[in-house]
Amino acid sequence: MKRVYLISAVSCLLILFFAAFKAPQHLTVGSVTSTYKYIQPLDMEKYDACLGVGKGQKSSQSSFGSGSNNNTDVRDSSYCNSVLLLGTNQKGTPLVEYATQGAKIVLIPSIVAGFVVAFLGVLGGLIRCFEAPILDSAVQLFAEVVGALPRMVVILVCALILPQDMRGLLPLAVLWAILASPTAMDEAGAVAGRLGGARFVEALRAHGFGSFRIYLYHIVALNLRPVVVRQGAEVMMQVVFLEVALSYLAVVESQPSFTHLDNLHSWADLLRMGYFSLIADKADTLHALVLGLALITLIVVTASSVSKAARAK
Amino acid sequence: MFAAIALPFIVPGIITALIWALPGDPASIICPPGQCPTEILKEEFNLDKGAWYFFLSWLGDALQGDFGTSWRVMTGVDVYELMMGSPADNQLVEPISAHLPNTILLLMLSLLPITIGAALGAMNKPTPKWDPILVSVGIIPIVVLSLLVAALVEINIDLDAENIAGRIKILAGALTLGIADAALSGSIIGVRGIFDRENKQRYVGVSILRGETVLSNTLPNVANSLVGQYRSRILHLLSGLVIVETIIGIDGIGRLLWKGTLKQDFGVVLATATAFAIISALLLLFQALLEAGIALHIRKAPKGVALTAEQK
Amino acid sequence: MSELLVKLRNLQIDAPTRTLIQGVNLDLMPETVTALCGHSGSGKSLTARAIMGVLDVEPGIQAGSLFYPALDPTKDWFQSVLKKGMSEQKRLLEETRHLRGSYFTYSPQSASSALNPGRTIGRQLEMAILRREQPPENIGEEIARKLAEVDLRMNVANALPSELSGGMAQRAALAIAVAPQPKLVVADEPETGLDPVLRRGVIELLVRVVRQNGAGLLLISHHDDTVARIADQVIRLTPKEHA
Repeated sequence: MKRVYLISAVSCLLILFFAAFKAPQHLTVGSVTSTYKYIQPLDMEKYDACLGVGKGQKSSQSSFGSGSNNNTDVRDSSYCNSVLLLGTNQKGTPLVEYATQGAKIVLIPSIVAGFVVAFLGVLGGLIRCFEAPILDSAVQLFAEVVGALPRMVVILVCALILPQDMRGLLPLAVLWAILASPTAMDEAGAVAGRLGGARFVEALRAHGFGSFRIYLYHIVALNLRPVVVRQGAEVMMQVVFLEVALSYLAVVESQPSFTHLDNLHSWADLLRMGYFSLIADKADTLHALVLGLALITLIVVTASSVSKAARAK
Repeated sequence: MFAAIALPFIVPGIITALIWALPGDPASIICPPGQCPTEILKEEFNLDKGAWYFFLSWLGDALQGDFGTSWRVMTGVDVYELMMGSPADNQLVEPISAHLPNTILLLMLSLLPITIGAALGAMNKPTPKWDPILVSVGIIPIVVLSLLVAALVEINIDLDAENIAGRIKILAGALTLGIADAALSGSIIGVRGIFDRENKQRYVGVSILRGETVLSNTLPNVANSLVGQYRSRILHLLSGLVIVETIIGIDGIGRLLWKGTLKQDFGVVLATATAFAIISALLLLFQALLEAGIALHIRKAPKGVALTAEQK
Repeated sequence: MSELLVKLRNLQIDAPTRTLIQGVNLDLMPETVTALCGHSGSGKSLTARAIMGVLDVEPGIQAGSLFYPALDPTKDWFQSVLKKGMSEQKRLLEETRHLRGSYFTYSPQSASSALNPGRTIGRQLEMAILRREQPPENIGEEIARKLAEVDLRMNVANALPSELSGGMAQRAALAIAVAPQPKLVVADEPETGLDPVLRRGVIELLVRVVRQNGAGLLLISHHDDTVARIADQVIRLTPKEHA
């Protein structure tokens, strides 16, 4: 079972990396057409060719249909592939571009945040294994104060203060990780406490193990690993949700998001498109909502698989 | 207790420290030149007189209820008035919503699902076989649930009827806050876990053999954990407030903070962030008081037992 | 001969894969010390719990009858539970709850971990005293009297179990067990975890206090010397009875 989770975790991460790698710098630009249709792309000829519809004929109502190859002369294969894969929005921009750009925005910051939390968690666990009451008290005070701060508030305040050239998801993700670290440190500390803390280290020393092996193998790799990896995976997931939330909130207020550059589009845009379809009771971009939810599910599955793959035997 | 007292000062303190720690002119950091009237900003917040002067003067004014004026969220309006709502006899064309009272109402209502969840957890209901469903519901991110709830409200409620719409939005927001991001499921599973661990203690089995109820025996021993968990859940709700209020369209301080951040309205951000810090500090204080109460309850002397010095 | 407090006949309790106890018969009387002996795992504690209506094994009671003749000589408390599994056992648990802590009480082994860590000894004694049919008006005095009976000072009333030594906690548990003025005290290996000197002292105190209160005592023990010294009757769970 553990192997299944490991394969699942690696697969999900590979999909995300691949998506981020394939993300275009700019979205394919569409134009607004006069009448509403499920799909009204900019280049009707180009689009119809993808679906195998001849000149003069109207495009079908569905973007998911596959077509024959009778119009190969005007087919743009990469555009067609992306259109046929996940459909387009009303302007004919393939949704797959939103998906890949969204992955590009969140991938590195979320992984970095996961590592920061895991590192701080390990630190919290190791401190419990040292005979250092002052350090222990300092960590507790840090955890008490930082743990009492409403995370989103701190994130927003920092987003306001950060200079323009430093704005982006990465600093916010690292800050989120620091704010989430008290839980990880506390949990890792509790694991180390259950092991026996300093007495556990002494007992292993009596067995002739060196410090390196005791701390890195017996404490971190064997005992803290499940906890810190789970916390890291959770924070990774939270950072993705944070980005989607902040971008969505910016879209709601018709403002640019401070989590990414203006040429990039977050998964929040997919949700927003789907939201408009929902409230207007039209199905034209409802598939964008489905795609957005599917991507969020992918993140949940990734985090869950990583956590379960790291569980103790 | 230390954190409870320090928190309302720590948040503006951190903001001050950050502004002065970053390279460049504080006024330009808060709002880049060209986007804001930097000179007016400097004058209003004493940004040209050093970090300590800024911090202490802002704090002094804030303690007297003077949070300055908003220059971009609602230009020229007093920030205090923005948070508390316009007075009944206001002369404004559009009355200002009572952002802080709205938020407090939203927060209180969102405690209902959590409290019900805690009660269910204490009663070991639903049983662990339902956990996969609970976890699946709990994993829904707050942004997604807010969006779906906002769509439902938008479709089904006549938004022209402002009074009713406002109340329904607050109810919908409370439900969203109380369910999303594992608020309800975490409450059920967390409280059940606390009681499960306690019920494995030997004294619980002995209390059954003595004909006593299990809950009356375990409750004083788990009360601290329950209070701690409850506080951390409320704290989690505070973070969710910003998202829920903005997406569903509730005029609360979360939405105000967000608007302030987006529009770089420093006065609004500083005041709302401090309001959040005060709510968090009050929670900590409440937790400390409850813990003290529990400690006193545990040490409570039986009726009629008065110790004389000799007996001691 | 005094009236019977408990009459247990032909008790058989099964676990999913094996029979835990079989053919156990027991008559318990006031002011009589009955010892229940046997090796570890022979079902001593299980028998005692069954007598008190507390069972949490599946499928549970397969045969037997239980009477509390001092309450109702005709009522067989096991009649509705036989071969009915956990749900009926839970019902029996609720039905007999008012008897536990009043008709019979329980004195645990290793009392330090068996007493509620979140209540002072005084509060636990107070709760036990309030389970009497007619609680005294001055609870404080009664608490002092009960503590004195087990050679503990009044200041113990304000202590938490974690603040007492093993011997003191065991004596406090004994005081709590006799405080409701029960008809029967079930003492589950009260000497466990105590040194030989304390062990002898606690057992003698137990017998003295129980007799003073006019109750019967069911003592679960695997110390043959203790049993031989104090028991009026001995029930030994042997392989013949214990399948």
